[in-house]
Parts: sequence; structure tokens; C-alpha cells
Amino acid sequence: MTAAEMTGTDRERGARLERAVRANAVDLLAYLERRIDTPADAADALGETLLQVWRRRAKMPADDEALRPWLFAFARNTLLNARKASRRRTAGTTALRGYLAAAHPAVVDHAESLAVREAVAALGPDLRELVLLVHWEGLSISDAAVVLDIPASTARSRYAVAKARLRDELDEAPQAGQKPGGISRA
Amino acid sequence: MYWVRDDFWEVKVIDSIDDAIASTAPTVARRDHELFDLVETVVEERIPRRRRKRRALMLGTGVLALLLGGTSVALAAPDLHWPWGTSPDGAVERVNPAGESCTLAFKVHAEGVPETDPAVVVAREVLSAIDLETLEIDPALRDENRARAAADMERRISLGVVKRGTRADPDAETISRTVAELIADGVRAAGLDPGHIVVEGGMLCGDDDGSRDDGN
Repeated sequence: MTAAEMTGTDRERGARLERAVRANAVDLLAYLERRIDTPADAADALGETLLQVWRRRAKMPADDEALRPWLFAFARNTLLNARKASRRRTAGTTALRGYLAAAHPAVVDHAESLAVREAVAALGPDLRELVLLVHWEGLSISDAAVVLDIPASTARSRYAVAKARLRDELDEAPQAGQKPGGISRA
Repeated sequence: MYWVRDDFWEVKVIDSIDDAIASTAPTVARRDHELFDLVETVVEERIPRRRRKRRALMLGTGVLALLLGGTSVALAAPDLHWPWGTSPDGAVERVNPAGESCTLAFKVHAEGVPETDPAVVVAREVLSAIDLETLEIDPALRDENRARAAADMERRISLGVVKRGTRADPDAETISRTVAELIADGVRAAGLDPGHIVVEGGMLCGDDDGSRDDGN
């Protein structure tokens, strides 16, 4: 359907979707940048995400507050189907690729970050992604549940488990002769 | 409070386990004008509605950043770009001099201190408590900004930067400065220093019915 063929309802839906996309596009890009090994590929993934969002606009949630996690769920699905993204490259995504490739800072893994990152990685994929959606992307636990397609109650219990494990892992008091790189609570 | 030790046994203090996790987020590309424009291009490619054109009426950029330090608010470097990809802390609908419906939005940012700094937190609370719909504007400030905008427009027309007939929206700046002053006053009233707070204002104008915009 072209824009000119849109009905009034389509137009309203499109306007609402556009507002939601514009409000979240940069955050979606950040989500993708943080999870793709080659940051420039995040441009293609963003383009693919928005393409899928547009195609599924008839199913977008009626509640405005639910739109943000709904969009992030598309970004996550794009990562799970990453091969499609590069096949649909456009002038815009190509330009954004070039920018990201040139502007992306070199990754510097400080030892202190590595210690925490290792603890988070040890949580396993389900708990880890939940924790990262909350602490990297700033989503609420309920919104993260939408992205992960799990019940909110499940997300809450998983989050509590994850935080308890992280506290256990990172709560060791410094010991004389202990290997450096750990984290301790004061 | 957590200590994080690096390879040299130096200790870095992190307030909470939450901050420790957040600190491991991989760095993303710098958010500047070029990136926002490129993301906008991708959005326009992928969301194929008839375009409404983003207007840039306020100060010629659509973005205003006000530093709260000193005795009065000050305009920050013009290269600051309000990130449309994040939610504003406050917004108001208004009609600009061109008759367009506009959203004027504000966001509080920390400058050189953590976003969790008490002054920043109070600034956001003050902003959220401001009734933007009924905000009272100082007539003297309004008239001053209108006169300056008119002079600036003439200068830009004479330089050929804009065409005659282009309208500025000085009242948007007046509203923004008023909001920033109220926030600074509120932070000071709480006994805190507003010197590390930036209030950014951004404006998006145009018909929202999907009709094509003919530009300025």
C-alpha cells in the first residue's frame, strides 16, 4: 500500500507509529549497537527492524506506553534473524553504516568492567538479557518481559534471581593475595 | 556501595550493583547532529508515510540548550542537539506564528555530574511540577526576544540565509528561558547548585494528519 492509498484509520495508525518510532529510533540503534559485534551492522539491523515494524503496524498495541517495548521486541527479533538485515540495505542505512564504522569508539574493556561483565555473562542467556534490558536500555522489568515475550511475573522472579546471584558473585570481601580484577562491597 | 578493583589493585567506588552493571554497557557512537540526521533518514525510508517536514524555527536549529549556572540562564553552544529518540521530561502543545501545531519539549541533562546527582533529580522534579499549559511569561522578556528575533531575521534575510517571509518563533525561546529560570530557582531553593544542569528545549512542528508539507 502506498501512502496515497491509505485510509483514514491507516493514516492515524501510521502517524502514531511514526511518532513512536521517531521517539525511540536512537535508543533502538543503541540497543543494536551494544549487541552486534560489528557496530556498523547496527544500521542495517535498524533498517530491518523499522521495516518489520511498519509491516506489522496493524498489530501495534493501543496503549502508548506499550509501544516502546513493542518496538524493542522487533529489534530483538531482528538480531535473532540477523542475516536478513544486510540483504535489504538502502541509501539511508548505507550512510548510517558509514557513520557508525567511522565514529564508533574503539572498545576499551577496563578490568573493573570485565569483572562485572563476567559475572553478568555467567548468569546465562535468559537472565542476562533480562538484566541488560533493564540496566543498559533502561526498560522496566515489565517492559523487558514484553521484549522477551515472557510473563511479567516470570520476569520479576527471574530478575530477583539474577540480582541475588550477582550480589553473591560480586560481594566477596577483598582478601590478601586474592587475584586482582574482582569487585567487593564496601 | 561496591569497590571495583582493576589490575593494579586500584579501587573504584561504584554506588550500587545497578550502577556497576550499567557501567559495563558497551559504548555507542557519539550522538551528534549527523547521527540524528542519518537515523531520521532511515526512519523516513522505512516508515513510508507522506512526510511532514520538520521545521527549524527556533533559533534556526529547533534546539535550545540553557545552562543554569551563574545568576541567569545562558545559551549553550549551538551544536547541542536534543535527542528526539528519548522521552522529554516535560512538553507542551502550542501553535507557532506560521499556524502550525507544535510540540515544545524539555529535557534536563547533567553536565559533568551523574544523572543521579541530587540537583539533577530536583531539577527534573521541578520541571515535572511546572504547569506548562498555564505558564506565565514576563512581557518584558517576551518583547525583548521578539525584537531580537526580528532583527536577527532581517540580518539573515540580508545575508540570503533565509527567504523573506520565513517566520521565527521567538516565543518558544521565551518559554524555554522561563522554564529554565524556574528550574534553576527550584534547585537553588532546595539548597543545591544548578551549575551542572542543562535544560534542553526542542520543538517539532507541522501538520500531523499525514498531508504533505510544502516547506517554509
